[in-house]
Amino acid sequence: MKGYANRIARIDLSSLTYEDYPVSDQYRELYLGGKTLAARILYDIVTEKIDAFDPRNPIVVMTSPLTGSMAPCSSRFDVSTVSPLTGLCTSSNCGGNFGMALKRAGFDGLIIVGKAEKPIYIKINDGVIEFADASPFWGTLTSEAQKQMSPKKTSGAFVIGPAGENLVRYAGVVSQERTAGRNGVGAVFGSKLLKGIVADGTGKYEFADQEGFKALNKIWVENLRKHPLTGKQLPTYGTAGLVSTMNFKHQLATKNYKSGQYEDFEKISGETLREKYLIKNKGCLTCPIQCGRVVTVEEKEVKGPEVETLVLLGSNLLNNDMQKILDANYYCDEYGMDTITFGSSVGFAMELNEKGLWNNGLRFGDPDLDLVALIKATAAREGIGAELAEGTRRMSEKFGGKEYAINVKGLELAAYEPRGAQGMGLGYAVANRGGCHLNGGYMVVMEGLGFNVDNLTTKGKAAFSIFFQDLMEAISAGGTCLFTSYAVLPAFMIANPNKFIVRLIYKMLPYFGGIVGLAHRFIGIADINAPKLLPYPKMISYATGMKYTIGKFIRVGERGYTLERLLNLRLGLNPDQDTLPKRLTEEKQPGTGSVVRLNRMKKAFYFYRGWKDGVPTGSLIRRLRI
Amino acid sequence: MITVRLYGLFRLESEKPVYQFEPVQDVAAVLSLLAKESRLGLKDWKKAVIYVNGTAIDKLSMFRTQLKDGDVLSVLSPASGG
Repeated sequence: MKGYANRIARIDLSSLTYEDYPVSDQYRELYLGGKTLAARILYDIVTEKIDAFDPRNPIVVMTSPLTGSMAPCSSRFDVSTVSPLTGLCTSSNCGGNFGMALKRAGFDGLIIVGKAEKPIYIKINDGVIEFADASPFWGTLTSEAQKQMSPKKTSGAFVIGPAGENLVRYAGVVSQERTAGRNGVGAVFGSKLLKGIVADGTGKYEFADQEGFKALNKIWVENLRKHPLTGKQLPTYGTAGLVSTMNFKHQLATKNYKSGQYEDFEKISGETLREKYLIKNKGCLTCPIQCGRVVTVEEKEVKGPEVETLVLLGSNLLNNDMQKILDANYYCDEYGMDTITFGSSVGFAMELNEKGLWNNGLRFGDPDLDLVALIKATAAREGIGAELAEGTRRMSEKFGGKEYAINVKGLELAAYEPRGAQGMGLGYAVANRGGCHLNGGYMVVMEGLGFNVDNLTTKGKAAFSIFFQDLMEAISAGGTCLFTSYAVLPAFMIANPNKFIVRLIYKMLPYFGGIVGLAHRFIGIADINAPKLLPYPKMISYATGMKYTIGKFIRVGERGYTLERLLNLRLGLNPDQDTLPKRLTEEKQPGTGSVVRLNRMKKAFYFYRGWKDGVPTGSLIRRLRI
Repeated sequence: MITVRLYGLFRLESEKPVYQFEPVQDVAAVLSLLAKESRLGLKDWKKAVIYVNGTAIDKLSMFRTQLKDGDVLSVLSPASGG
C-alpha cells in the first residue's frame, strides 16, 4: 500500500534475530498506524497480564502513513508497551527524526521482545537489521549516545539515558531533543538492556496521488500559518504561553495541586521565558508552527521547557526560578526522564516531608532546592532518588498520603489543575494511559485555553471529551502532531472572545453535549469530507489510496480508544481505577470552592461511549470491527 | 490608580507590560486609554480576554464593568498548546 514501507519487523533480543511480522492491508485500513496500530499488535501479542519488565513485554515502535510525507508536523512516531508505572498499556509520542529515518530504512514499525545478554543497540539500514555492542556507551547521556550511535546526518536515533538503564519508572526515550516521555517506555528499553535504535536508509515515500496531496498540503500549511493559535500565539510563546491563562483560570497546578493559582506565576510564564531567556524558536521536522524554544543552559543552546515542565518544576514546587527550571529540563532530557512525573514526585515528596510522613529534606519554595542534583540521584536511584524513581503511587504505598499522590492508575497528572477544568478532570480519570491530558481528551482547550466554555460546569463535558479523545487518537494514528488540530477551532471565535455571538455559542455549547453524545453512541459521524476544515482524512487518502472520510477517520480513533480499554482490562484494569485522588474530588479549590464532580460525568461518559460500567459492550466491539 | 497588566500577544505588540491610569469609570474607558497610549487600536483591545481583579469580565458586566481606584485589569490573548 502507498504511504507505507509495508514492512514491520519482529525483533527478539534474546536470540538477536528478527523476522517480518505480517500486517494486512485490512489492519492498515482499520487502524492506520502509530499508537492505534500498535495497540492492535499489542492486543494480538499480549494475551495475558504481564509485568512491564518481563522480557516478553513487547515494545512496539510505530510510524504512521503520513510520517515522512512532508505533511505539516509529520515527523511524529509512537512507542507503545506495558507501562512500568501503570502496569497497563501505554503509548508515548515523539517528534524527533527517528520515525522518518525508520521509514526510509524500509520499516513502518518494530516489535521488540526478549532481553539481551549485555547492553546492545539495534542498527537498521535499508531493510537490514543488525545488533551492536552498546557496552562502551552504557551510562552515557542521551545527546552523547545519539552522537556515538548515529554519527551520520541522515540517520535518526532513539535512545535512553541513565534513567532508563536504571529502570526509573518514568524514563523516556529520546530522539534529537524530543522525548517519548510519559509512562516509562525508556525503563522498558533498559529492562531489555537496549540502549537504543539507529535507522538510516534511502527509501523514498510513495504517494497514491502526489498532486492531490501537494495541493491540499499547501492549503493546510497556509491555514496553520494564518490561524491565530498555530500561526501566531504558539510560534511566539510556545506552549509556555499557557501559564498566564492557566493561572487566571485556576488551572495552574500549584504546591502539589493544592491550588490552581501561583502568586509568582509571571516569573515562570511564557512571557518571561521569551523576554529574558529565549534565543530562537525551533520545531520538529516539517513543522510550520515551530513551538519549540531554544534557551541557554551552561553556555549551551538547548531545548527549552514546555508548559508542563514550567508548571511541574515551577509552581507545583513553589519554585519561581526560571533558570533552575531550564537547567532541570535540560538534565531531565539528558538523563532521559519525564519532567512531569519527576516534578510531581518531588512535589509529593515535599508534602510528605511537610506532613512529617517522610523526612527527606525537601521543602516547597526552598530557594536552595537543587533540582539537578535530585535528577542525577533519581537517575542513579541513589539516596532519596531511589524513592523518587518509583513515582507517586508507589511512594504513597510506602509513606502514605494516597489522597494527595496526584496520579491516576499510576501515571501522574499533567500541568492542568482539574478543579479549574471539570472536563479535564473527567479526562484524566478515564484515560487509558492514566492521568494524561492528551489521552484524556484535552478538554482544557475548551475550558479556557483556546475556547472559553464555562470551566466549572460539568454539563456536556462527557460528550465533548469523547469527541476530542477520538479525534486526537485518530490524528495520532495518522501521523501528525496534535497541535495541528488547534487550527480546526474556528479562528473567528478565538480572535473575538468578547463578541456577543461568540459568547452565546460558548454559553450554549454545553447544552449540545447531550446531542453530541447521543449522536456518537447511536449514529456516528457522517462519511463526508471537508478538507479545508479537517484535512487529515483526505491527506491520508491521497497518501495511501484508501478512501477516508471524516466519519471513517474518527472511527479509527474510537476503535483505538476502545481497543486500548480492552487491552487494559486484559492487563488487570478495574474500572474503579477511573477516578482521581481525593484532593481533587473532595478538597475545595482555593478561590473557586470547586471540586471535580466526577461521578455524574463518568456515568454519562460510559453511556455515550457504549461502555457498561467501564467495559466496552459486545455490540460496540462488533460495530467497530475489533 | 488603575493598573493594567498585559500578557501574551498584547504585551508583545504594545511593547509595554504594565500601564497605569488615573481612575476611570469602566473597562471600556480603560481600553480607550490603552488605544491612545499604544500602537494598537480600540478594535484590537476589544478582542482581549480581560479580568478585573482576577474575575473575567464575562462574569461581570463586560466592557461596562465599573472600576474603582486600585483595581487591576489583566489583559490576555487567547492561548493554546500543551
